[in-house]
Amino acid sequence: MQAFTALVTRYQHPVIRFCYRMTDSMQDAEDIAQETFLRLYGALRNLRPDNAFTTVLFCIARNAALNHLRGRRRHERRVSALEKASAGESSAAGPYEYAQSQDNAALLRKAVAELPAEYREALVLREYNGFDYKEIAEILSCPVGTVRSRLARAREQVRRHLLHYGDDML
Amino acid sequence: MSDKQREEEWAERISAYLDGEYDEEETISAWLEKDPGAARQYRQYQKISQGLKDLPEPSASSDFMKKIHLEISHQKNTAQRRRRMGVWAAAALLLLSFSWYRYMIIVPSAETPLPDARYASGESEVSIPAPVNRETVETELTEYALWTALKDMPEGISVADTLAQFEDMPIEQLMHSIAEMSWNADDNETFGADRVETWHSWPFTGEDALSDAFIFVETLDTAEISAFNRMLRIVLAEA
Repeated sequence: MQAFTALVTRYQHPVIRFCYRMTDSMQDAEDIAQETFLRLYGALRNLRPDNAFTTVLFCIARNAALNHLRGRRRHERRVSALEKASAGESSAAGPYEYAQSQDNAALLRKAVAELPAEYREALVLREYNGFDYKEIAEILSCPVGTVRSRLARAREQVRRHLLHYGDDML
Repeated sequence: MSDKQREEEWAERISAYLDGEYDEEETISAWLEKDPGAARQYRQYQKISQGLKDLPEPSASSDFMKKIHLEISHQKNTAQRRRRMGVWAAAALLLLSFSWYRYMIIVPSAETPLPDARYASGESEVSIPAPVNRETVETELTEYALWTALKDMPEGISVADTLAQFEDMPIEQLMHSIAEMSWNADDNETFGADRVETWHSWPFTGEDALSDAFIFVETLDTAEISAFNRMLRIVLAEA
């Protein structure tokens, strides 16, 4: 149990960061991260030396996050989380006003949150967690070429989003 | 290749170049220097990347680790409880199976008669009827049948002597012997030729032997009964 505690201590921040960017909700991120580590605890005996630990860990986290996103009231949760973020980080009342506030960080978060899940997970794993294309391909169980195209489309959609709502940042 | 496809390909190259994942970096560098639009797009991607990295870091709640430990402990306890319940369930099932087996094998069913009340009341003397001996019954019946036939025997012949030796002779053998005798004797006229022939052809075997013999005797008239008795005694004497 001590070894597992050390493992959680070491990886909890990257996992929570990934989950948070995937869900845009801190509460959901913690729940998913918790579920991830619990699943990992159950899978520790089956881990093989040839499996990169971080790949396995983020594969579990990604599946848990996708399950969460597919869950009930997915859309409502996202909107609710965005509204909370808006209320906490800006004085604007609604999403539209929030977008107009030219709060670059909030705008960027919103742009990421609106990406399709397959683009968002690739972008988050690359930008927030620093995985290379090969590692991302292993986590997402897809070819490296797919990772490359998904990343490009994700960036392009974010760029267009930012250009649409205000190009101060760009 | 359409414009949209071309744009996507450029975006893909620029994105991969930004990540250091494009093999022909020199080609891309040269292209970015020549194409201002591509260069602008590249810079915008850089800003987005930097902006994402600069977003505030989410921090886990202080009890994050505690929650995980609690959940693991809960899962362990649940697993132990399930294992324990499984063992108890298996034991209960085993006991139930044994009880059922014992009930089905040992405990009498509804069709099994209950013990006599006298056993329950503790009475020591219980009269048990003697078993029925079929041979005894048959012998008695045979004696009765023949006695009926022999009751009118002429005087001077001991019926008791006849019956004394009759016990050990099967009715089939007796009747056939008499029939054989009557067939060969001079008493045909006494019995009549058709009567003797019928008598001789009757099997007098199996379950119907006694009843056949009885019926035969019952059909005899007085003269025939006298002849039959005489021959019967001879047969029994020879036997």
